[in-house]
Amino acid sequence: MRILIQQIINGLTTGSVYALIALGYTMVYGIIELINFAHGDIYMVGAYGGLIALTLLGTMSTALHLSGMGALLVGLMAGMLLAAAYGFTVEKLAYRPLRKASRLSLLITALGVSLFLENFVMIGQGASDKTYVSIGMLNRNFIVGGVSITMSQIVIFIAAFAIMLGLDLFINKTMTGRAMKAASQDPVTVQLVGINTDRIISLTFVIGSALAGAAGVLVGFYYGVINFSIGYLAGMKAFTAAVLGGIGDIGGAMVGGLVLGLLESLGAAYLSSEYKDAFAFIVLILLLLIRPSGLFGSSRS
Amino acid sequence: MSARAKVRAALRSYIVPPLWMFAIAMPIMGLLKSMVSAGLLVAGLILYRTLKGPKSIGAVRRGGYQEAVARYMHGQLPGYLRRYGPALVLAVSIVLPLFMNNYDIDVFTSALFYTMLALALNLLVGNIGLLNLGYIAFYGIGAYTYAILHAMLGLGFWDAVLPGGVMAAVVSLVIAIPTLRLKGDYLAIVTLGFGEIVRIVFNNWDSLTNGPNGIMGIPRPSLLGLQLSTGIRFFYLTLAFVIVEVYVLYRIDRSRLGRYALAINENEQASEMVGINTYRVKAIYFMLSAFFGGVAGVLFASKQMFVSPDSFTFIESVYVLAMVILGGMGNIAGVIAGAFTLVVLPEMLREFVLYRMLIFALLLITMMLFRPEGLLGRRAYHDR
Repeated sequence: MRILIQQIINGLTTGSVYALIALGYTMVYGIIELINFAHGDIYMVGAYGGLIALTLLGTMSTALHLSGMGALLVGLMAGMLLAAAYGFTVEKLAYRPLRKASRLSLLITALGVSLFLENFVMIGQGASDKTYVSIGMLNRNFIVGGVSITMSQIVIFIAAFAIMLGLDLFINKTMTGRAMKAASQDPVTVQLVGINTDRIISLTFVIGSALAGAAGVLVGFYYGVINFSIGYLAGMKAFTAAVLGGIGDIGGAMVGGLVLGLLESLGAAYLSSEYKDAFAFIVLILLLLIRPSGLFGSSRS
Repeated sequence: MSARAKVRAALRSYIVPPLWMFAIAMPIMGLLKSMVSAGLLVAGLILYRTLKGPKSIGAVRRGGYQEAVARYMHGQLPGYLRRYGPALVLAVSIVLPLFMNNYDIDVFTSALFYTMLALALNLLVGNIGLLNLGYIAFYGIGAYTYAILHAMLGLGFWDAVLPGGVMAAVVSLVIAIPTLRLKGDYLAIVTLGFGEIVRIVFNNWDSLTNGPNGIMGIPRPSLLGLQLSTGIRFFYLTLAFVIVEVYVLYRIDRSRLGRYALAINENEQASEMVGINTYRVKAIYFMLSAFFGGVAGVLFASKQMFVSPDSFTFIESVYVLAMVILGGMGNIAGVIAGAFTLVVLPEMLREFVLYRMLIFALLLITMMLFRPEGLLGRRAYHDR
């Protein structure tokens, strides 16, 4: 029982990270029907962005002296900002010129971008693991009834849900957000009523990338190390989460992320830890075969 | 255009993008490298702008090598070149290794391996239009089949060639049956996932595959009592395999099956309407492609005398796919050229080891932006 609860807590933690990344996949797919392979690498760029900002602050911290909370926020902001800038640039340079090209070309371009970002960061930051800035506050550990829960897990929950709530509000309550929603439902008609689709697509990439960047920073704090190649697996898992929730469905991506996180941690505990990374792929394949529209999707696709 | 507007336009196109690139590259790359890349960007932009316009890339393309190639493809070149071109290439590849050192022969052999893979993948991507992102799994299955058959039953190379191919084909059928009904993108993802699962299985099924350590002691083949163990002998063996594969693929392309595939690639619904069992043709192509991958895998295992999961990663699948795309999908000569380019070019860029994959990625992206049909492009169908 204790193990079960512990695994559920761990699963929900990784799950909320998957959910954050999955949102970017699902939003982009909703509008331009592209499986953005580079999205996982944007998440990785975000993780590095946070680390670089915090290291920079650390070297001059005697003057600034950030509290634990302040450092967390600065890291998150920097990661989101850098990831958003990269997402924006990638869309503009690589995807936009191909808007009318075949889907195969687009998919291959996305692969190329993913490779590019990985090697770009490897060259700039080195191939070895980087230790993340450790914030004392995050390492506190609570033990309740034999189940351990760390501060960083709590922070991940709260941050992920705050961000998702913000996104939900933005999409449903603001004009631009509604335009985004409309564009994902019918890009052509949206153009007819005077919405600049290119701008909306750009914005989608910016927001999706910022979310991925936030996820990257949170994971950096959680695991304590990052690497230029973390994007691939995380990206694949987040994509699975997006499909799980019905690709194109924002609420679905959140739930899909949590479900996948749970499946993975429970599977690792009770089935086989060696095949932990294979679960996501097996789930993905089974899902695409049985219910390609996602767990709660309509039969539209 | 007024002078002011001109200045503003120049600012927009030559100043703002490099500054932006510099700003976002800075945190990751540091000052110096970001400045260099921003400078390169400006140079690239100026080059691009000069090539565009009335004397554009398009114009160059119409007049230059493209036309020569197109003429070759359409048989408008002098008959002798068209007839003897393949024979000439073959003759060169037979004679050339005699004058090469061991290292170069090794590079050449590796190019032939990728040629085998790229040709087989081209059968799927180029001929029938199915994207497979986990292709390397079949290569791995072939290699492991030989390794395991040898370790358990002591089978030699020639006994393992067919089982290796068949094993890959059977596994491919298992994945193809349910997935071929999926839409294009989803198929790509499922095959990617499949490739990962296969690699994870290689990595973890210790009793059969010896896990991450791999299987050692795989023998080189012998033919009529002749040990094919030296580099050059193995090269000729590989060449023979490539020749057989090219011939078979060429025949398939011209068979009824090949025409079906062509029709499906052009318009799947229409092909179904005229009575082609598209699902079956796709499944057959999937199996054929996997079979050749498996056979190449057996050969690969015997060349390395060792197999391990590390040889069959996702990036290898991307690499093979890039060869197909670079040379020109659906074009046998193009795919061979693509494979050789992507093996030999990195060898020439040895000093830039660090930047190799970066250049490769850029190549892939620019290729899709400017010449999505590949260097040689697809052969015109009405001529076949």
